[in-house]
Amino acid sequence: MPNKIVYCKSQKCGTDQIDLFRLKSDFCKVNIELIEVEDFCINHKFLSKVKDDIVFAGCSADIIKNWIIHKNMKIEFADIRELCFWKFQDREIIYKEVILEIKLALNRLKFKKKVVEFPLKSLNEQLDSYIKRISEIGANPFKF
Amino acid sequence: MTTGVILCRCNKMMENVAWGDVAEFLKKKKDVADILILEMACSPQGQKSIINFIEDNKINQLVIAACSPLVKGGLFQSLVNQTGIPNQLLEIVNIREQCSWALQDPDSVLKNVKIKLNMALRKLSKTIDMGHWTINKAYINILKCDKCKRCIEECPNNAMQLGSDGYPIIDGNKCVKCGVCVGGCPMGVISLPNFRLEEINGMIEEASKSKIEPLIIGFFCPHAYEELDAVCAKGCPGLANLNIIYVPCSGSVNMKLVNDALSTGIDGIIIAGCEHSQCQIRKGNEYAKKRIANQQETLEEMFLEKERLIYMSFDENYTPSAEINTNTCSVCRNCETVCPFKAISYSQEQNKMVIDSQGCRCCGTCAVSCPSGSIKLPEYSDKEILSTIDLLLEEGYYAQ
Repeated sequence: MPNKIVYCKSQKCGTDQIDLFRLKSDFCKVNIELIEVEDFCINHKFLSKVKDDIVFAGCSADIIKNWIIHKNMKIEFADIRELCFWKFQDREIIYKEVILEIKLALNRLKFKKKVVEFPLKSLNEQLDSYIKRISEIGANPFKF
Repeated sequence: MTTGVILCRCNKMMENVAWGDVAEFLKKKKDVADILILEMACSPQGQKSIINFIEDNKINQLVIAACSPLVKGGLFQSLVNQTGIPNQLLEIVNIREQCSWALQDPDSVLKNVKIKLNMALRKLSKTIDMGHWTINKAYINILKCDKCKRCIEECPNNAMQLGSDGYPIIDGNKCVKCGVCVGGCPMGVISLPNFRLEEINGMIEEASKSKIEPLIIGFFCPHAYEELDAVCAKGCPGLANLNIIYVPCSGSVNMKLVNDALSTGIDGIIIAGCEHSQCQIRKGNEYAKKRIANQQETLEEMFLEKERLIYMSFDENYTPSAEINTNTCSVCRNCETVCPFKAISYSQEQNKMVIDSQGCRCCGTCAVSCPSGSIKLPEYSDKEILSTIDLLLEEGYYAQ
């Protein structure tokens, strides 16, 4: 399965402060396509159409993982925002760190398994059935 | 006390929140000195703005309404600590996962945001330094303690000893602030530096003012809270009725809180924790289940339905479990001994070691203890770690 890098270019996050043409051509040399997406967090829906294995380069996985992940997806996260753009000032150092973070994520991707099923059912089902049960019982008499 | 509120828009990831209405709502509050709306509170610019906001307005207690505390909570805590505000006077309100993402409908989102902010403000208003904030352990109000010794019996870490005066003494080196003693104390006189029953009571009182029916309160342990966050990202309509209170462990919920919640008119109470032996605090979930069973009997004696209080665990298999290669496993049962969650057992029928996927927390203790190397973790395998080291060396990252 070919790999793709989805690069989040965001002015607010500062991830646009990089020579993207150079970054693209650097990865093109090793046959990896880099797709840039402006403010990925609000434009992530196209991901459902991408069939390739993906490295997402942008913010930390904690922030966005649950929001974008879906079934049959193989994705790894390169936290370039916190670890590169917010950490360093020098553009050349940032560039090197971004390359390294993406390479590390590509390496992790090799060992990653597909998300077979995203767990959603149990919690929602349990909550719904409990709310239904409490509705059947009626309001707490102490309320009155 | 001067209270400030910071609202984070999370880079437009919460477009269904009516920020203007939320700000208007907060401006009407007498106890709120000032409000700051930020595009991204965690960014370097956002962090500077938070510090300036605190210093300029002489804020000494702060509410940050943003993403889940499990995401950027640590950052906000360290940031606020820099300005001299202790962790106890910072309240992080999870409006991203639990309101904006879970509910989606703007009206429900706004209602829920308001309830959550009210709960946070009320909690802060009840927060008092009893001189124990700097002591990193549970503490007892001995003026009210009746020396029943239950805390000594129940402490999962044996951190409590009987003092010569008959009162319990807490060993700070052993206490992990799990709150099992807080949950078990019949007098409700034990507290943690950031978990006092009076504060939680304040939150419950505030939640009970909501007109949503049925109105449910959920006490969620960190593990259940993490699972809830994951589910909320894909929508969780049930949260319109449910107000979540984060607790250190399901075993830390004192039944006094349950009684108070029911007496203020809460229709149902969920205590959400781990299943099986998953409890990292050890035994917290077992104690919670026992206490709930006892309390349910009491509720029935009071002619209240026992379903008004339940224990919930989600078993989402959110954390992947370790895997055993049965071809190379010699069934030495070493893994069974070392597993801290008792998730590995020997199956006589199958003549092999079996991992309970719900009990396994993928800590890796079994993998490193296996003499034949038959246990693998789904992520972070030896191969992966070694290839990462190789890559770093190729890139010139080595000790100089």
